[in-house]
Amino acid sequence: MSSSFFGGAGLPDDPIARAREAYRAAGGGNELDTMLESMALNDGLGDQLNEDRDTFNDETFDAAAGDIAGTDFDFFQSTHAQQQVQQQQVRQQQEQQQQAAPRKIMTLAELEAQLIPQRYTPAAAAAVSPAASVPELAKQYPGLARADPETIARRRAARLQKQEALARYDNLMSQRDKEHIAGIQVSQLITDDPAAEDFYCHMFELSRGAVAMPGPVHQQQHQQQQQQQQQQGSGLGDVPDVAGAVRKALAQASAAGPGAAAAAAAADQGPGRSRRSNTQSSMARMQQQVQRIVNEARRRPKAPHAALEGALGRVSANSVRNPKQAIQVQRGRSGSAAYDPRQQQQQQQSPCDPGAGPGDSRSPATERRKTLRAIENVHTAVLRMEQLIREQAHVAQDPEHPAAQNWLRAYAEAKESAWAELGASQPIMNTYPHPLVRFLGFSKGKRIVPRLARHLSIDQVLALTTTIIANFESLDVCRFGGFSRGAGPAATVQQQHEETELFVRAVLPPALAFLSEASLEIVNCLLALFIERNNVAWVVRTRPALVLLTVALGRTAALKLAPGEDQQAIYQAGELYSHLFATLQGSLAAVFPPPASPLDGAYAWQFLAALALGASPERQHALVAEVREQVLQAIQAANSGRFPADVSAAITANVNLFLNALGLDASQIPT
Amino acid sequence: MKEAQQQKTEYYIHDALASDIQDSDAMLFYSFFKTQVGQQVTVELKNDLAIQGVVESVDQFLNIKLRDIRVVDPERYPHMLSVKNCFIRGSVVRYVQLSPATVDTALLQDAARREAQPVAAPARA
Repeated sequence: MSSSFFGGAGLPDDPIARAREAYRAAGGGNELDTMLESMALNDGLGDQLNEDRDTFNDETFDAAAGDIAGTDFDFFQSTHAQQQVQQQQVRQQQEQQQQAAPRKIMTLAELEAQLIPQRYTPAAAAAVSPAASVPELAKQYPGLARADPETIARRRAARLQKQEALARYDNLMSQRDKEHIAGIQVSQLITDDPAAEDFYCHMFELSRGAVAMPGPVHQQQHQQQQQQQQQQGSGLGDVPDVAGAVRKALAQASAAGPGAAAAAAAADQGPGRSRRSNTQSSMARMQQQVQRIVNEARRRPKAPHAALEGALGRVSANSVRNPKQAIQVQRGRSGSAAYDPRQQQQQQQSPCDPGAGPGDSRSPATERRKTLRAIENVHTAVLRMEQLIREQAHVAQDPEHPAAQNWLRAYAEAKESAWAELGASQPIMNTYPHPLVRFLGFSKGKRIVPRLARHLSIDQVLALTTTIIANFESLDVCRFGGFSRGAGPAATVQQQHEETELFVRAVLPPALAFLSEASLEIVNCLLALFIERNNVAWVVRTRPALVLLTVALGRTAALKLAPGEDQQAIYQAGELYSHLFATLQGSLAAVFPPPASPLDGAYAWQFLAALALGASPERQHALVAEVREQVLQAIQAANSGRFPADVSAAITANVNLFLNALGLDASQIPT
Repeated sequence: MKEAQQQKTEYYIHDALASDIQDSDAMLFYSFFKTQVGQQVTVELKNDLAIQGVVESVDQFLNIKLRDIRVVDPERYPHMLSVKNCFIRGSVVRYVQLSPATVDTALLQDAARREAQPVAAPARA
């Protein structure tokens, strides 16, 4: 430095100080400047040295500033307290200076500077006292890995300092402010109809885990699940999940009303009360708070567009629900090749003239689109019906009540529209392929039939079954079986298998269930219809036909044995059986599918067994003669060691289905 | 019953003067991802980074929080080695790879139909 050991300070070294001296010498110092300068250069320590980075004290004297206060080493008499007092004085000084200046809009820093001293001192005074002395800590936590008291003290001091630094900004927002912001955020989330929006999630959880009814119990389970997740998760600890709480609050608000909140909170206190009571009560409090906010937001729905004062036009509040418009599209009522409701109406009213709708070109593409549209309509109607069924619990049970009548009307309406779209009631002769057949040509159509059948009346199911049987050959699954059995590219074969499987699994069960409950006359009629309308020998190669016949024949046999049946009906059944047998004679071996795997033919064996049930002895002989090859092959395959034990057992069981019906058994066949 | 209350035009981008704003189809994804909470997924971002982790939470903008993450190709992205949890903004996600067992496709089809219905119904009325 330029201040020599002997002499005083001449020109200082650094250019800033030099410039300052020059400025002062030139007479540039007035009161404002000196004030500003003193403010800028002031570091609030007065005559003391800046000891922030001075660790000498700690290392040399083995104590922090807090420890020195009040002891013999306290050279400045209460170091800490005096520092605080000085800081406060400085701040008050600053405040006065600011107020002396003309009143202006305060910056954030200045706002804070005003607010903080009011909050700082009481908090700081409380926080300074050390938590626990070192030896006590050592006793409580023997596992604490630390070196020596010096490190502990240093860490504690650092922690306290951090706490203080953060505590400066506590309590800046009032409760009202916080609720206001929370309200804005929640209003983005709330919905009028959680069932519609949250449909997937709600139904998924119902089907997977939460078996209980919706409402308070569901909330309880959900809360427990969530808490488990939280505890396993990244240490959220006591902080409740706002989104979850909101969701729960909403579901509660929509489902059961305000009583549910209290009930859920009370119910939650039951299990695990001792362990989790803190979390539970804080969750409950949070929930009530969220409930309040939600109700507030619901009361005042935010308009999507607000006209601000002074702005030209409207400002739209974009949220997830009303996203920014990308393009404006006007959708015209163009008929073209698209589905037109008037056409369908006409088609139904004039069944003799299906092709006479205006502009109806009846091209395959049009047909396809119409069928797809019909399938979608049925889906819509079925979804509505299912939703109504779900809501049925909430509707008043009294049939006179208007709400119940509304419900009934809505339900009937949906059912009618579904039935109409299904096309099962359309007369059979006119269009080829029949609308129902086209409907069932798509896997979507096959899938919706069992769901729809649950809602249909018995008559409607009968009509459906009749139509299916009458048009059986034209079903797509039957056409597969007829033509390419195992031939063709693997992908199509796979697809055909899947469609057949889907048909048997989805479409047939309602029809079969109906058959198993039907009277003998009806079964006879249906069987007669089947034989009459379809080329039996050909259709019998397909699996769906065999399944149907199996059930029909089984039902017939069961009914014949039952007492009190009409003799006429039994006689008719016998006639039908003979007729069927005669038709099938000679082609029974074709019943079996090509042997892709040895277990494939189970349905064939079942059919043969059903056939054998009603057979007279000579017919049985004929039966056996035809399928002898197959039987021997199967038994040989089972007894040879080519397959694992369970497969062999399954094969034997299949063959036994048939043989037992004849009164034989696989073990009797010598091989 | 629902249809009676709605006055929405066909597409999800609707006219500014529509009186009654209903849900857009964005909420189906949100609902779907809510069921994925707790499942392991692989999120591929638009910058080609692929992160595998357990879904911790998701919000209405489809921002995803993952925990216990693992970068699929660690040699290319060594800076993620120490990261255990992350928050991914929804707009940077390109794909989310799920396990099929966690998805109920029939229910998803139904939910999609429900979302589409209020859009389609007034067109035919």
